[in-house]
Formats: sequence, C-alpha cells, structure tokens
Amino acid sequence: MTTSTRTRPLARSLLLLASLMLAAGCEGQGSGGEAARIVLRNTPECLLLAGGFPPGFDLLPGAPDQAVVAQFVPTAVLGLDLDREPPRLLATDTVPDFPERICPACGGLPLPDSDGDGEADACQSEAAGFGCLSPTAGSLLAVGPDLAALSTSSFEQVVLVDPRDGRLRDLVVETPPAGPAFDPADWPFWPAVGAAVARTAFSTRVCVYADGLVDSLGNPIGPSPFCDPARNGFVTRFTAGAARVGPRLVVATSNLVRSSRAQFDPGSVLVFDLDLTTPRPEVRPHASGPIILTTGFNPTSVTAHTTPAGRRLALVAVSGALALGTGPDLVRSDSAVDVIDPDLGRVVATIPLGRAGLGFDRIAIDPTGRLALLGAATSRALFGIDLAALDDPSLGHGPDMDPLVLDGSTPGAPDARVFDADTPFALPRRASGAAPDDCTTQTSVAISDSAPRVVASDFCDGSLTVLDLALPADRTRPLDPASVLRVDRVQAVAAAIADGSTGRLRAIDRVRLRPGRPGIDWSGPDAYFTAGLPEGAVCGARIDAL
Amino acid sequence: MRTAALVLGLAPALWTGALAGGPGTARAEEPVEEMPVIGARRPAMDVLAGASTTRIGTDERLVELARIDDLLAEVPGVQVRRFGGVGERFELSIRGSRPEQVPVFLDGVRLDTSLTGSSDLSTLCLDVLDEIQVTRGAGAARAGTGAIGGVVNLVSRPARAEPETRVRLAGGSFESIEGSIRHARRRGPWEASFSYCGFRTKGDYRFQRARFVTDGTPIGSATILERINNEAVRHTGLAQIGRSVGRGELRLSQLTSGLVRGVPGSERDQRAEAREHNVSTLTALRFEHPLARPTSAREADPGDADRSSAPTLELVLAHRYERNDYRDPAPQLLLARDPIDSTTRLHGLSGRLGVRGEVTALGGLHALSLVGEGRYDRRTSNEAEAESRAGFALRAELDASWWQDRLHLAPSLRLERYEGLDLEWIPALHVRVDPLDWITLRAAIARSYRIPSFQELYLPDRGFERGNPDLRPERAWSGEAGVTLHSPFEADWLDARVDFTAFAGEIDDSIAYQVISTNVASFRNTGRSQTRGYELAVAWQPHPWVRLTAARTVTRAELESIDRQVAGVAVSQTDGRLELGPRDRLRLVGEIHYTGRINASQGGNAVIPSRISFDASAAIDLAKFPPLRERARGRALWLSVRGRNLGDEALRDARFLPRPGRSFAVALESVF
Repeated sequence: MTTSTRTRPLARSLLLLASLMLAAGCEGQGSGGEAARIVLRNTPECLLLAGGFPPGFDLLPGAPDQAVVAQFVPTAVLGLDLDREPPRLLATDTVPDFPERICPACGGLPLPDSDGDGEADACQSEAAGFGCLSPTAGSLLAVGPDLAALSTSSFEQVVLVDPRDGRLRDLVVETPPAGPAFDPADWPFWPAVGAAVARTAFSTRVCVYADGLVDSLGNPIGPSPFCDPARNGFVTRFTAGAARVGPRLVVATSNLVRSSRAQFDPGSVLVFDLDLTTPRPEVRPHASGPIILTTGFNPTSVTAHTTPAGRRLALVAVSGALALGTGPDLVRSDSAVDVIDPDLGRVVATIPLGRAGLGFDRIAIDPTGRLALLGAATSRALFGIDLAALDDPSLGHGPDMDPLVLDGSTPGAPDARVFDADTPFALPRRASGAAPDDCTTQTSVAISDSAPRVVASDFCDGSLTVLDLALPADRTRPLDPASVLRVDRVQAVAAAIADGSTGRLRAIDRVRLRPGRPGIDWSGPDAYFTAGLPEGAVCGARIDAL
Repeated sequence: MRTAALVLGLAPALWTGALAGGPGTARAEEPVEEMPVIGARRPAMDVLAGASTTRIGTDERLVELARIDDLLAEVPGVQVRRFGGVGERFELSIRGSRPEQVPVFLDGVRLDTSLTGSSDLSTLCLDVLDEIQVTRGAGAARAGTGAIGGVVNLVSRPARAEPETRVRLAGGSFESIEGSIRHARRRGPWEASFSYCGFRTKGDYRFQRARFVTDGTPIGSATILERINNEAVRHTGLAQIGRSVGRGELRLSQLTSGLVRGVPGSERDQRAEAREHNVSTLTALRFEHPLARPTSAREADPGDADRSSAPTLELVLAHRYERNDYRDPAPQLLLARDPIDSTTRLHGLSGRLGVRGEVTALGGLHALSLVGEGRYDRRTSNEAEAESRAGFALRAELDASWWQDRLHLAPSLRLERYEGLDLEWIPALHVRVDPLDWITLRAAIARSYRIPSFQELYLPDRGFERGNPDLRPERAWSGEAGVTLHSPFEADWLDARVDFTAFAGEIDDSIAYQVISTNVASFRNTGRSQTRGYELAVAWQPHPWVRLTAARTVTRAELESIDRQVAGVAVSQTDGRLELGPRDRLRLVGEIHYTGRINASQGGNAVIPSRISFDASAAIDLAKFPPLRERARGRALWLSVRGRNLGDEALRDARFLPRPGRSFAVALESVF
C-alpha cells in the first residue's frame, strides 16, 4: 500500500509528461530558425534560376537593356538588367509566389490563385470538372517595359506580370454578350456577361466545336465530356505562345491530349481584344472571331508580322504532332505556318513545310519583314518562309474562305517556302558535340536588327551558329535558298548533351539578340540564350568574340 | 518550449532517483560499449583486419528511441539523406557514394536487390536487429558488386543463454505509434528467436517552404504548409530457428516486411493520391560445420602455441522476393499525365559455399578463406518484359598475422562475372600494425565495381524516360590509412579513444540519370569522380556516468567535369553526443548534429547552406528505482522520451523535400 501510494505521483508525472509531449503543440513547423534557403550562385556569364529549363525568355520592347524570363519552380517571371554581366535581376525585394488559397476539395493545401479571383485555381478547375489543376508556366510574351504575359498550362490561362518586381498585374476581364461567333457558355472560366471584373489573368480554357474533325491519331472528335454533349468538339489544352497583333492578343493552344501517344486534338488559336490604353489592361474575347482552328496539329508559337502596307497579321507555327523520344520519326504530322488576320478572324493563308517539326520558340523576322526563320523541334535545322508572299493586300479578302496555300500549288499564288522539311537549312554539327543518334536536338533562331546576321542555338551541341544573312534589296525578287543564309562560324557556348558533361552548363534553348549596335549602344554581350541544365540560366555571349 | 522546460525540470529528479540506486551498482555491471565497438560480439560478417568498421549494438539505443537511420548517421563517413518525416524513405551515402554503392546485408546475405541496386532500410525496424555493422571504403570491396562506398551488415537478434522477451510500445508526434515484441531462447540443441515490429503513422507535418535566392533576391515566400500523404503502415517480422548438427550448426531465417505508404511528392507538387505498397521476404538457410583439422599445420610448427583451428565449411542458400506497387492516378509531370500503375516483382536466388580455417606457419597465424558465390535474379513488371541475370564469384582471402597479432597482412582477391558483362577482378590489400598496446595503424587499398541495376538497364520506355541496356559497370578504387589511439593512461578519467582515417577514391563510368535528348532522360555512364576526405571519431569516458563521443567527416566528392562537389553530399558533418547517468538505469542524452553545405544540383551552383540541429533523450529503468522496484515485473522497465530537432530548424537534405520540425516520442519497454 505504501509503495503504491508512492508510485502514483511518479506515474502521474510521467503520464502527464507523455501527454504533453504528444500534444500537437509540441510538434514544430521547422520555423524555429531561418527559413530554409536554396542559394543559387551565378557564374560570370550566367544568371542562375531555380528549376531547370526556363520556359520563356524575351527581350522587353521599349527597354533595350532589359529582358524577362520565366522560371518553373517556384513559378516566377523575372525582369533582367542586361547592362550587367551576368544579367542581374531588376527586382531587389522578394519576388513573391503567386497568391495562394486553401482549397478543401484539392487536399486542403494552399494552392495558387494566379487569376486573383480569391479562389485557388485548382478549386475552380475542380468545380468545373477538370480536376485539381494548377498553372504550369509556359511561353512568355514581353508586352512592354512593365508588362509580360505568361502562358500557363494545366490551368489554362494567360497571366499578366510586371517584370520589374515579379508581381501580378491587375487587369479587367469582361465577357462580351453572346453573338453569332461567341457563346459565353463555351468560356467556362470567364465572368458573367456584362460583368467587368478585376483579375490578374484570363482563361484560355475554351470549348471548341466543329464536325468532321479528327485527332492526330485519326480518331474522330466526338462530344467532349467538358462541353455541350450534343455537339462534337474538344476543350483547349496546353496554352502555348502568344503575340500582340495590333489591339488583339492572339494565343495558341496546342491541345495536347496524351504525350505518350503523341495524341493531339486539332490546333486552335484564341483571339482576345487587349486594351493597354486604360489604367488597367482590359481583356475580352474577340466577339466576332475568338476561336480559329489551325490547319495542322500542335500550334506552338505566335509571332506578329506587319506587312509593308501596314496590315497586321499573326504567324502561327504549326509544329505538327510530335512524339517524345529520340530518333528520326518523332514528327507524326505535317508542319506549316498559318497566317491569321485577327480582324477577319480566320486563317487567310498557310505555308506548308512538310514534316519539319517546327520549334516552339517564336518566329524570327528580319528588320525588313522579308524573311521569317523558324527553329526545329527535332532536328539540327532551320526553316524559312518568304514574307513577301503575304504582301498582297487582297490576301484573305476573296470569296474563298479556305486559307490560300502558299507552296506553289495554288495557281497565281506565290510559293513562300524558303527552307522546308525537304530542303531545310542544315546547321553544322559541332565536331565535339552530341552523338546525333542519341540526342535529338532542337534549335532556336534570332535575327539581328542592326546587322545582316542570324544566330541559331543547338540544344544538344550547346553551340551557337552565326550566319550571314543576304537579302535582296528588291522585295519582289525571289529569295534564293542557296545564298540567303551562309554559315559564318559555330561556337560552343555550353557543353554538349553527352555522357561526360554532367554538371556542366548545357541544354541551351531560346536565343535572343539585343537590339542596337554592340560596342556603340552598349558594351556587354549581344547574344543571350537560356540553358536548361544543371539549373535554369540566362547567359550572355559576345558574337564577335565567338 | 514549455515541454522542453518540463524535461529539464524533471531531469534533476530523475538524476536523484538514479543516485538512490547507488553508483556502485553501475560499475558492477559491464556496460555495453558505445560505438565504436570492436570485438565485443561475434560478427555475422567477418571483417578484414585493417578495414574501417564500426559496430553498434541496438538494445542500448532502442531505449533512447533511436531508429536505424539515427544509428547509421552516427557512423563516421556515413551520411543519411532523409526525404521526409517519420517512416519516410531515406538513403545512405558512405564517403560520398550514392545509395546504390552501399550494399546492405542481413547476417551476411544481400538485402539490396538487382532492381535498384539499393536497399530501402525504412522497410525495417531496429527492434529486429541486434547490431549494425558498417564497413567503409576499401574494406567493403570484397562484398562484390556495388560495394564502392561501403557495406552495411545488419545482424539479427540471436538467442542467448537465458530466454528473453522484450515488449516495446512507443508513440509520438505525427500520430505515430510503434510496437514490437521479441523473444529468444535456447533449448537443448535448438535455439529460436522471433521478432515483430509494427508501425503506423499519419505522418503529415507542417513545414516551412524553402526560399530560392537568385542573384541575392529571395524568390517565393517561406510560408508554412502542410506536408500531406505521409501515412505509412509497416509490419516487419524476423524469425530464426537453429539447431546444432554434430559439431556444426544449421540455421533458417525468414525476414518478412510489408509496407504501405503515401508518396508525398515534392514540396512544390504534393501528390495527394500517390501510394506505394511493398512486400519483401528474405529466406536464408545457413549451415556451418567444422572440417577435420589439417595435421600439416600442427606438424609444421609443433612448438607454437598452436592456435590453429579446424577449417569450417559454410553453406548459405537464400531467396529474396520483392514486390513493389506504385500508383498515382493523377500525376502532374509536365509531359507525363498518364495515370501510373506500376507493379514490379523480383525473385533473387543466391548461394554461397565457403571454407575457412586457420593455420600456423612461417612464425605466424594465417586465416584463409575460400568462397564461391552464385546469384540469379529475375524481374517481371506489368510495364516491361521480364529480364533476368545470373552471376558468380570466387573469393580468396588470407589474413596473416605475426608477432602476437601485432602485424596483420590481409590480401584478398575476388573474381566476379555477371551475364553479359566482363569478368571483374577485385583485388584488395589490408594492413594492420599494433606497434604499441595503445596504437593501431591501418591501411587498405582495393578495387571495386558495380553492375547496373535492372532499373538502370531496363526502365520501361515512357517516351520521356527509359533505361539503357548498353550501360557499363561502374569501376572504382579506394584507399585509406588510419590510426586508432587508446588512452595509454591508467586513470579512469582518461579513458578515451581516437580514430582517424584519411581516405581517397576514384570512380570511372559513374551511372547517372540525366537528360540525353530534348524531353528524354535516361541512365548514362558519365565521367570520373574523385573522393577524398577524412573521418575523425573521439570517445571519452571521464566518469562511468559521463560519456562523450564525437565524429567529424569531411568529404570532397567531386565530378571531374566540373570540379564541384557531387550533388547531395554534404561537405562535412560533425556529430556530438553527451550521455549522462548510469547506463543500466538512467541516461540523459544530448546530441548536436552539424551538416555542412549540400549541393542541390549537379552543377554545384544551387546550395543548401549548412545547419545545426539538436536532439535529446531521457530514459529511465523504472524497475531499478525504489518506487517500482518491488512492483515491476521482469528485468527492466524502460520509460523513454526523445525529442528531435529541438531547435525546430527548417531541415532538408534535398531542395524540394522538407523534413519535419521539432517532434517528440515516448516509449515503454519491458524486458523479462
């Protein structure tokens, strides 16, 4: 009895101690000290970014010494000062994540609310039947010194960001009333008709209807479970490149269904009215023609082009259905450049390029507007078209609503092809580069605005190829593929994708040439490119030093 | 913090209770030596003289609520990379190696599988083990393929002279509960031991998101988030039955492990529905029998003390089975949105036949061992065709010693060949010299290699990733030299030991998963990497109730292509441990863990800065104290509490995989 009495206080103390220990309050949050940091250390040539493979990179129009880059994780859009080596961030304060909200239906986690509607994007997506999808960063369009448009996939939209501080930009989103070409029901993430609401992004998730369509595997397109069950159609996916064409914003949606099978729904392009003259940008679907089907699968980039007569067109690179993997047979359908007149709301012409497998970067156009060059997604090549074929002001204004095919097969119409799948401009392989059988490369291309010079990047070889550009002074004179481009030199700027290059800078992608005259207008690098490994990076190089 | 204060407040009371037991009692019992312990138990894997081997007994550490990863992390040269909370997977790196370069054995039988080349130790629990042995560097090469960094040998719980039953129940943070029961006994020629442990946790925890610092500017916000989908249920059983057969012994052991747990994904892409389900077994039959003593040895040196022993025959047959299911109905990988439903099975058969014996000759004692091994593995998968591989190995070792064991010379040679690959020669030489009683000098050099795993060779082609059937084995050499100093002084308070080992190594054709083309990743033989560094371990026991140990490891593991530290390998680690109290009844333990910076990318330009964390534990044997001494049944009744990461630091070993903050656990263990 005595022992028992003496035991009780100790046992109670121990039980009390155990209970206290197990109480939820004892568990820490890992916040007792400084927050965990992952420190990225720049190299002399490169600004390092978190995550690999920066999905977007562009020079800021109106700010020749600045650029903007998108990084995957955490998703951010960062303005860059190009006057410093390596490029440095414009932002000096913390660049915040996208705002986050709790979504009970999606695991109860804080998830991005990138469109600023006060609800997690994933929650919106789940409520609309698409599942808990959050935005994944994609292409980037520099609109102005204080505005960049980031395309996102999964949660399909375009987000507006201020590159100076990385913060989301407010805009006004408005849904036009229903009309012959516009049905608000097809735009499930847009506000009610008549309501102009403040947002930071606008949705590109749209129901597209048409009969007689097939996907890239040849399967007929029936009703979509997300859309009107009485009509054949599909929903847009994989928002890709965008371009500002006059007062319109033209956005491509690749409509990738399943990458493992190279399955794509028909390609589409969305047209929005974008008003930047107001204090806050205003966006609405272009009511008279908001959805345009492309002539092929997988439209990936959109580039604005203005004809000598001042006509504003959108050039859409239709890459074709592409399979993942290595080898020669990854391009499963034809490529083309579709020419869209946003005012007409349709494809007015198309330039078939065969099974080229066009690259995903935007089209490079020379300062005279004569030659357009495109990179490749699966080969060491460039493709090109003669933009003089689009100079005809009557293009697309005829009675025929079908696009004019500019490959020489249409009587009376020019052949706009300069380099196509059958006659590509082959970039030289770097002697110490990647084994071509192992690494299926992709290329990106840029044209100088101050010199007849072209620079192309090679993903696998890690090289930049400098080319001389020789365009005839007479715009009506045909371009000779044999003389318009000439390789000047090839220089390695990164390691090749090879077995021994682990840890080294490699996987170079988008290339841009700084506007102005090197050595006169600035003293630093004139060529900038992104690298995907081992970290995402933006690097500079002097072409004359290559 | 209130809890920590309570612990500190209670400590003096417990201390007083311990004193009541009398200091003389503590001295009367032989304490189990703290790591490193050499020669205290019969090793299940014999260790070559001169090898760097650390052995840790588990019983003493179970009462501190230590886990397998805790014990391994204490060993100099070993880095444990943890990727989540309680119950989550962790990886071992020894001297800068990758986990595939550290084979794991259970009683000398391979646990690591041909599937991945590594072993997931989170499927086991400490309760079923008696000892953990870690051999680092050159001393491991004799184990064959994979043993580039080192070898871990887990020793199962043997039956002792007296029947023993242990029951343990533990609970702690993150809604975790763990229990085990162990029983071992001998009866006549028979001996048997059975161990079971079960573990369940909800596992979810809150963490602070990492900030990326680009160009000096933080990107992203360090918000507090919930880490979800950490639920885990694990059952592990180990049964052994043995019998004397003549002068020999026959032993059958069966390890069974089942694990179901969530796979939470990365910090920035938490997977709510991804789950894995693993089942594995290891069945091993071991027969040992002494052969007739060779007469030539005795005749050769009849005047010697004749320490020759009869040769012993050893036969081991083992079967390993693994089934891994992984499901994620909604993966969010950018280009791989197809639901994942993967089932992989692996059957592995292995056999070993060896003879070892000792002879006296040439003025010394020489232990000779000849071993032949065979192995056959077959993998089946619902995503790929079945693959199989067979291999064999021959090993010869000599441990020659002279001058009352003051000089050991141990050359060894292993020949190994696997289907489709070249014959590999693995020579090694170990030297140990004890010029004085208090000093031991060690040196070793060895070649090692690793054959590619099934995963590396035959990963199903999903478009964006695939295996590489053309991979070559990794080839390496390693060397080390070290010294062990024991205190030469008689005074008890100068009871100390210092171990220092410098090591270096080189690996050719390292296998790495990397981008090989636009949108495609695979395994490739990459360039050369070099490793060098040192390990320093100090143990000091100035008083029977005060034990201080510390270990520091500095590792420079650099890729030759960039001259930068290999991703994931900490440049240095320092661990300190202070233990107070009479071990048999009360112990208060404080630990400090310093981890140097870790490269978070292959290029070395993304860095996780260094950090310090603190752990502490208190354990009391209630059966030894007056209030309960008369009431408690059995030999011991341990009540333990442990706190981890008491400073609540934001810890992580990989950039997107946060670890929990401060946590606690309480346990009660009865021994009878």
